[in-house]
Amino acid sequence: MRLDEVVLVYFMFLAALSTLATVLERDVLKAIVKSSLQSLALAMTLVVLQAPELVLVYLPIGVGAYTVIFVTALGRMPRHEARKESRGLLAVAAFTLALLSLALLSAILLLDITGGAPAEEVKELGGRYLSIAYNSTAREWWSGESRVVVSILWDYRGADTLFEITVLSLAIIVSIASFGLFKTWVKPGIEAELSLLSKVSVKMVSALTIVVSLALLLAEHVPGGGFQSGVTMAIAPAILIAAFSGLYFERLGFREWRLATGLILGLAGLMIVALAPVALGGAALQNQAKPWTGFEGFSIDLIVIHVKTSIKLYDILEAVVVASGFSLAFLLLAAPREVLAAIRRRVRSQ
Amino acid sequence: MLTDLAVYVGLLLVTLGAIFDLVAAIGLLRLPDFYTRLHAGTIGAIGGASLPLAGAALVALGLEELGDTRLAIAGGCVITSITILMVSPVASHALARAAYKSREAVPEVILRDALREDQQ
Repeated sequence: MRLDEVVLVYFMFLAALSTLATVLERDVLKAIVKSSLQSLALAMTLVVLQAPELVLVYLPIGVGAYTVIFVTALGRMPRHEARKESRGLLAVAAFTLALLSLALLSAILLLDITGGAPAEEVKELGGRYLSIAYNSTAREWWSGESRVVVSILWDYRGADTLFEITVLSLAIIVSIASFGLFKTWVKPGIEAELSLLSKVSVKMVSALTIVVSLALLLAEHVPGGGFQSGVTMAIAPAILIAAFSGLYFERLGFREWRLATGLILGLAGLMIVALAPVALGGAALQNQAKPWTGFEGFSIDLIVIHVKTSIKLYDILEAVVVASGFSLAFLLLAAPREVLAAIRRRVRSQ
Repeated sequence: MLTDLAVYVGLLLVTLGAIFDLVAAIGLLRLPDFYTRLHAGTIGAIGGASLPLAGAALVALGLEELGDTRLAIAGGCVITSITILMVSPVASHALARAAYKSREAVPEVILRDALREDQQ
């Protein structure tokens, strides 16, 4: 193993351990600190993997913003320790996560993560990039940056990032408005129920949203397509919960434990797809056949299912994870404010 | 021939959409109260967004040099157009209803208030 692989494994191990520690921690403040440690460790793995543009996002949000938001929120409410009955599911989730992380780590330790890829060819590609985009004598394609990913970030991803942030901010504003967090807008004594027209149209739009997300999932075979599809699919529960109630969504069959099970099964599936080539004599995360490994590439031919790349499998599983995870989050957020206020009062009086 | 017709009809719809948008913008500036301005805004959403999107779908279908991509573009346009057509009137209705029920906006230009008659 090379030195960067040792460092990578070390930080991944740290991330897995701090995840486990976060989930099993009883004190909320300590759990926040351990969670930020996990973010830090994952950011370090991204540094080792030479993806600086992801670090730029991961460090300020994962370590900075999350921690500040959680600590600020914690400072405004009485210390509220997790109750015992809700810990069963968490323990199962933590156990599964730790087991899967250990499986991945041991696979990386025992089997070569790079699959023995010849290093010279990578260097040749890097040399070609430098001779074209970092060539100070012929500046037609000059990028002014010797690191490939950073130059892509600066030259192409700037506008992309700006639009992403705009869309995200818009989504946050709309969520806050539709989840009624600005409750002071509604004057007392005024009927606040939606009309029949609005209710029927919300149902129709949520059905349409699911159709669009499935089209995104099955028509596009791009990295990140699964995330787009899952997020789009999660809009359906979000507007159903905002327009009706969390109870309405639960009565459709989407109970908390079912959504959590979907999340865990999706993660396990992702791990299996990532490690399946190792079992077949290839490298972890391998997709197509390579001359230096025994793995012959992904090829699944069932009756109507023809999968030639692993991206499709990753996309489908990621959509399951994202959709069930976001739905679960919306369902938990949908707890009526009166209930939350009652809990807060009870804890304060203790 | 048929593809040319699709392009021209599509361009006509896009032009109509621009006119609707202009009318909506003037209406938003000139109309006196919340409800009439909401009416103008909905004109902009349906005539100025749904209609030109249908036109864009026709234009895309007419441009054969795009290959199969034109079907994807046209499909996206049609879906978005139908969604706007379905959602925008309901959104206006919900806004008007909420504004009326919360007495946030008092109707100024009004001949007959059937809702108040129902309540009394």
